[in-house]
Amino acid sequence: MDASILTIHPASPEPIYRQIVDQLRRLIAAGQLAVGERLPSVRDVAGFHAINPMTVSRAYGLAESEGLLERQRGKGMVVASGPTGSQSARERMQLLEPHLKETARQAQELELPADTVLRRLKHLLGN
Amino acid sequence: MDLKRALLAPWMAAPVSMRWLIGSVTLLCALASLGLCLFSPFGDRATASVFVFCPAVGLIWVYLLPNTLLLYHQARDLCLPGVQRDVQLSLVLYAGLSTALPALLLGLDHAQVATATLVLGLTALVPFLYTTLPRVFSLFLCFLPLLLSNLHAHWQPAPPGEPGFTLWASPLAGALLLLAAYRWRRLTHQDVYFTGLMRPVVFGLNQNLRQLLKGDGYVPARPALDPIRLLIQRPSWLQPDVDLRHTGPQYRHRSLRVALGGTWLPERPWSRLRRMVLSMVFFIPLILIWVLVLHTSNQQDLAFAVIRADDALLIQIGLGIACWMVALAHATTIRRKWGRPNNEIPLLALLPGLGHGEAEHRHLLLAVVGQPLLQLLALGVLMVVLGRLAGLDLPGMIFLSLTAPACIAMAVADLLLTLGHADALQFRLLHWLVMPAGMVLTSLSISLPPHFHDGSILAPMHLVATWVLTFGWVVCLCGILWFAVAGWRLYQRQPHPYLICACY
Amino acid sequence: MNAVLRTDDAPMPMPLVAQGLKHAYDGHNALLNVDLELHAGSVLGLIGRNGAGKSTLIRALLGLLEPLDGTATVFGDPALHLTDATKARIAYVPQQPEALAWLTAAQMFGYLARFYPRWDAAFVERTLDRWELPGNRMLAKFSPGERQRIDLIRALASQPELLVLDEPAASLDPVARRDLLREVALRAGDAGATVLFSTHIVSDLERVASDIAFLHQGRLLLHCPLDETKERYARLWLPANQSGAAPPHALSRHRQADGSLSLVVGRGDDDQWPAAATLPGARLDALGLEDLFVEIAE
Repeated sequence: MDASILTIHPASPEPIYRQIVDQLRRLIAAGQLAVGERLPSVRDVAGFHAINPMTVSRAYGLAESEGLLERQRGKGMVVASGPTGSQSARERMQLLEPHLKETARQAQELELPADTVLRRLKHLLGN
Repeated sequence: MDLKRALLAPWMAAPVSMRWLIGSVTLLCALASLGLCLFSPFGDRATASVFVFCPAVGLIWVYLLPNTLLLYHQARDLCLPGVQRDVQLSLVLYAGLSTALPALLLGLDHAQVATATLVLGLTALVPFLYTTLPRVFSLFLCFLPLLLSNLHAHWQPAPPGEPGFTLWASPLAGALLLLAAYRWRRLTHQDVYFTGLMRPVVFGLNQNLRQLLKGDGYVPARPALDPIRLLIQRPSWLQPDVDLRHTGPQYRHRSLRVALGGTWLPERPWSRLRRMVLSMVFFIPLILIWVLVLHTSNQQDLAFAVIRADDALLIQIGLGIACWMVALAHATTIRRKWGRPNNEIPLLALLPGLGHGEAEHRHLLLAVVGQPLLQLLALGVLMVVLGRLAGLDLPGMIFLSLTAPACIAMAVADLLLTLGHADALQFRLLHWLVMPAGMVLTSLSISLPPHFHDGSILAPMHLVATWVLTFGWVVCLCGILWFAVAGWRLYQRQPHPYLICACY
Repeated sequence: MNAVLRTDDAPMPMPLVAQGLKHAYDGHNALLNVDLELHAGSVLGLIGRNGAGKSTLIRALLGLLEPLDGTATVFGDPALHLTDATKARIAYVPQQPEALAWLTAAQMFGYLARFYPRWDAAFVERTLDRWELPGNRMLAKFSPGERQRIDLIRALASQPELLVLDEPAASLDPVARRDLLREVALRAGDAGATVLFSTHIVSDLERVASDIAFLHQGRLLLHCPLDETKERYARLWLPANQSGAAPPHALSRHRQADGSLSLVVGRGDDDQWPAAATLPGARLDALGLEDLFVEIAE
């Protein structure tokens, strides 16, 4: 993979290092990053997105401590083997939770009936 | 069209300080002229009162009305045709008010109306043309005294009041009026932005004025004064070929000259020569005219090796004033540099290898002072050589040679005050008191001594004149010295010499 | 023995330290008691409105002007008396640089190369090529954006350990700005350079800064790591009937027309939001840096 797989929104209230960790978590959970796959170097990510390398190191460090990544001698950061690829549906659902909550809040603000929203969501999910 | 608005337009376009200045001068002149007309015991009081009114007319036409051109341009840019018409109308109105009306009034007192109109008309036209013609013509003006003095040998025009006056003055006034009308039309219809020497004086009027009134030179660069803009405008054949050999930490003096730029910039010898020759081309027609006039006028002592005493005098006065200007110009350049936070000064402040403490102060001072010093020495030598050629005697030579050292002292004092971040008051005193006094002294020291011997009316007073001049120079030099010492103390107190002036 | 110990223990002097900096122009205060420390390797974004005193602070920090009060040191040297060794470690790019306008770009680089011991001539060549800037053109003839890039090359070529940029992105187009940020970010990462840059373009700062300092009307309101700023501060909105319960310590406080109250609040020492956030009707919004900036500066 290369650095373009990550998207950075500097203006978001969420700190950049958290954005990176969250994206890594999602990518790994969804299997888009396979176990053992090499991550772009800190320098590459920092250079590509014009962000501070320390931010990237911090994100990688955090992901490593969470067990998402592991450091391999000579190869840099790779996607950790172990539980990451076989995350349970419940764990993956938890990743979606904040987005669902946000959607629910907005739907309430717009005073939309729940079944309309659910129908639409079903349609978007493809069935 | 509204008469009241048209009458007010030039005043509204002028800054408040200028309104007051011109208003009060006009009022004073009008009162003096009227008083002279009514109560003067002298014979030709009508002509005299016309002359008394002239300064007011001159001031109105050198500033107030040319300045409306800027208003006209703004009105055109903002699509305000009413204001444009006001400006046009005000020009006609003030032409009548400043020439015809006083002439008619004075005519009631038996003055010749035609003569008065012509005198006032010429007084209005010449300054107006000065501001509306390209700047290059004002350069030629420096040579006007020289030409007139030589022309005088051929042709002595009748002064105002004599019958011959209208004969030469009316065609001249007519021609100037046509030229003025043409220039006004061109400047109001011109969309092209004038640059360089073709730029009329009027476009720089307010900028120069602002600087003059402030007197301390701490003006942020305006577009026209911006040295960088001047660099871009300079044609490529006038661009210097910079000599960067012998720069670096081992050659601090030369390195500092590179960083100071302008006249300080080290240049390859042939580049300097080329630029000097090319800029001289400009003056060749003038020199030719001068030689021609000289050739036809003074048959008796025509020898190119020896210069006419009158011409030498005029040139020397010109050079003397140039000395003061050189001193002022260098100091002003430096002051403007030190007032800006984004140029080479912060760069120099953080550049390694320029020395520390006292040595750093000394290197910079020597580099800054060196260039005006050389130029002033050259001018001083030129003056002395001219004096020698004109056959000046020893006391005359001594007075003549005082100007250059005084200007060097003045340049050093001014630069020290600048580098020491002196307050504006000190600069105002130096520029508005010491310098004008010095310029008067220079003119007197050059023009008086040649007349001490030749049986002129000055001859009996020459001892007094000598003492007065000597005393004047002593006081002037002491004044300059005082400022230099004050500047030196301030400069020594700076932690490092490249601090941006806090006044910015 | 003692001396040896001391040299071993002595921490590397900090790149920039300011204590109690005060300055004023014509009686108008520009800096009021500013204390600032810049740690080695950090990228500090100095943010503030126009006229907040950013440029004055930078000049005072580098000893380019004499503050009315207070001291600044650069790598342990007093800012007003820097040694050559320290000067060689600093590079400063002013706002709209116009230094040495009479030289061509190549002449300027050649001239300055003689003074800096670690001058990287290859970098100059490479970057001029990459940014398509002709070296033989007179500096005065470059556009402001090009001129700024030339000056950035100049600053980076001396391989500084402390890079100070005053509004570096002001006259750059978006592509050049991104390029500059990348260069700054990588300098900080690879060479461990310390960077201080002032800006009012918040998105630039959010990309590369590790810390931010918020200067408002001559005072330093906020100085902390960037990520922490986003996590520590939020906007608390209280309806009119609850506005009496507003916490006393807030960075800003705006009362709306309907009587409701909008505050910028920070987490307390216990890492908790103020109690008022849990009141019925109260709303806590996460703030982007730009929103935070606007809320405080308004």
